[in-house]
Amino acid sequence: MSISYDRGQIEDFGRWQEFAPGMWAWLLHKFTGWVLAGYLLIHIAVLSTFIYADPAAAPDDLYTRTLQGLESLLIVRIGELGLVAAAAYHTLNGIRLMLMDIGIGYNYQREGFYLSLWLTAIAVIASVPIALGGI
Amino acid sequence: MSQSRPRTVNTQGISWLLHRLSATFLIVALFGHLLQQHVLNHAYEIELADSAIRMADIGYFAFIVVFLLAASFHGLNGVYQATIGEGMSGRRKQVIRWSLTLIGVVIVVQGMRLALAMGGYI
Repeated sequence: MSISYDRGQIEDFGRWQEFAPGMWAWLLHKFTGWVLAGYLLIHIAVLSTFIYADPAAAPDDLYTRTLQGLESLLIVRIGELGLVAAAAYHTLNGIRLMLMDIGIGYNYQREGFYLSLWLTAIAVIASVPIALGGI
Repeated sequence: MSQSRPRTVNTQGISWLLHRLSATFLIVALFGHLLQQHVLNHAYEIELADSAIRMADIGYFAFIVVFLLAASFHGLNGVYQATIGEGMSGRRKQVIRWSLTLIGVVIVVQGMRLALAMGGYI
């Protein structure tokens, strides 16, 4: 059974300085989850241009033009870096939560959260050359 | 208060288990997908023929179908669990539940339609 906790109004941003690491871990996990779920919708929508593309027109078809057109925009590349950050954090913090489910790392939750943040930062920095390549 | 239908299984437990199972699959699948599409290949060089050839491989097609199902379930169940965690209940909870189910059906149907078209199966 899931358990609901009274966390007060998180919408009250004035409280952010009172947040413990556990609150930030929870908040970031929810936020990155929403981002990734939203991206799934966008991803399917963009790739769906394939259905309406004319293979005879390749490489000037709708699908290729859409993908390469989007990839030529700096804002899209920066967005992809944000996506890497969201995916990396959600994955690493998710692993931490699943390990806790089986009783591993229960006494090192704070350290696990900080490790997730550090590894996310490394993943994003390592992705910069790939994300900005060929633009 | 309406009486809930008796259940032989704890669906909350199944939902919890499926969320973890789909998460475990997605960790591996997402890493492989990003490695293939962004490191070994470059997204800005993708052309229609590349995607079609890749999806025509039945193994890759099967992987993408499982990936689609796992990502859709994990994403929408995560959103649903978040609304429960925020104290959503009663009619509003039911509206959220069925709205997310509808969104999930649309994503899976469109994703399947796309994968089948891309692989030349339809």
